[in-house]
Amino acid sequence: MNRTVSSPAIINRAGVKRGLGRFGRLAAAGLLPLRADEHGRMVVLFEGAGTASVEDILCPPAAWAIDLDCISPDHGLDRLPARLLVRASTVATVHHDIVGMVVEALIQRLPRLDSIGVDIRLALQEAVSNAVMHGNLCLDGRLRSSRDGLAAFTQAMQRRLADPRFGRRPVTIAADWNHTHMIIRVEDRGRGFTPPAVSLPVAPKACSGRGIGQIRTLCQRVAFTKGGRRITMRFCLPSPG
Amino acid sequence: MKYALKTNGNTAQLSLGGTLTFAEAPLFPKILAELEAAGTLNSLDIRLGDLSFIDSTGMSLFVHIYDVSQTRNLKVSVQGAIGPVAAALERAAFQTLFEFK
Repeated sequence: MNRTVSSPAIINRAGVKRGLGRFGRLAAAGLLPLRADEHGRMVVLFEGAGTASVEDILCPPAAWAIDLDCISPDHGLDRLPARLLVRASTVATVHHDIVGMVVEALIQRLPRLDSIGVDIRLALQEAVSNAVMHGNLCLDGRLRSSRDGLAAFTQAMQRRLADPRFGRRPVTIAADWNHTHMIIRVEDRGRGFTPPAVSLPVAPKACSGRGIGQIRTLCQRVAFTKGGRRITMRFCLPSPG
Repeated sequence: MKYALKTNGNTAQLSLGGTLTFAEAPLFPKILAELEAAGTLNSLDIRLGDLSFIDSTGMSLFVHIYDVSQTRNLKVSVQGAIGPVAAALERAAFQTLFEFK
């Protein structure tokens, strides 16, 4: 996992050229820590809310995809070294299957990942769901335990998605790997939380509380940092061949 | 996600397709309201053959359907779950709440 020296190419798919200069300067200054990869190292800038489909946004040589609709789309990227990264606004993360797209992009680069692709998708989906619902949208999952609470929960979800102060907060997924394992980080800009030290079994009739336990079951190792705003999941890679 | 609720006398059939995740949560109250508006029902068949993926938020829809079934004495069966959907429902022990076919 050596840090590359040359600047990555920047491709702007956004309708206007906003962001191109800022990311070009960051790339030239070596502040976009893309890892060297035989599949290429290109940064794609896009507008998540106005894009009909993001399915191909991480097709090689694209390695990073940044949604310019996010608040501060470049903030903290220099501290997220990754071979594959997508930063999308909360609105775009709800409207597009970002998780499915990332898992497809990972399998495209590492075909042997296919046998654990479902596990990675499940864990990543729960992490992204937490980042969106409890992180960026600041929704309390316990509300969903009653019918009235479910209605209040979904109304608050829609109201906050329509509010740029919540809807434009970014969700960042960053993946890095070597021959034996893969690290996937998911980060939000919510108020953070204190994760439970252990995940107890959840009763079948419970409406919430399954997500973190599921992640812990599916990953080799899980860590929360940045006050609960970042989850780091480690997966063992299947042996080649 | 696509869903369809069809009734035939005292029986209803709810078909779910695509992916059932947190992104679909705003649909849950609508589905539950349609179910309650369907009149007096004895049984509900939930068909999942076209459902390809489910997360923990999606699973909460089933818990609310279970709550409806308890207040309305409704027998619920789940049919056609395959792959990761079947695995997720089994991991959540939903076979203790519903009949699986």
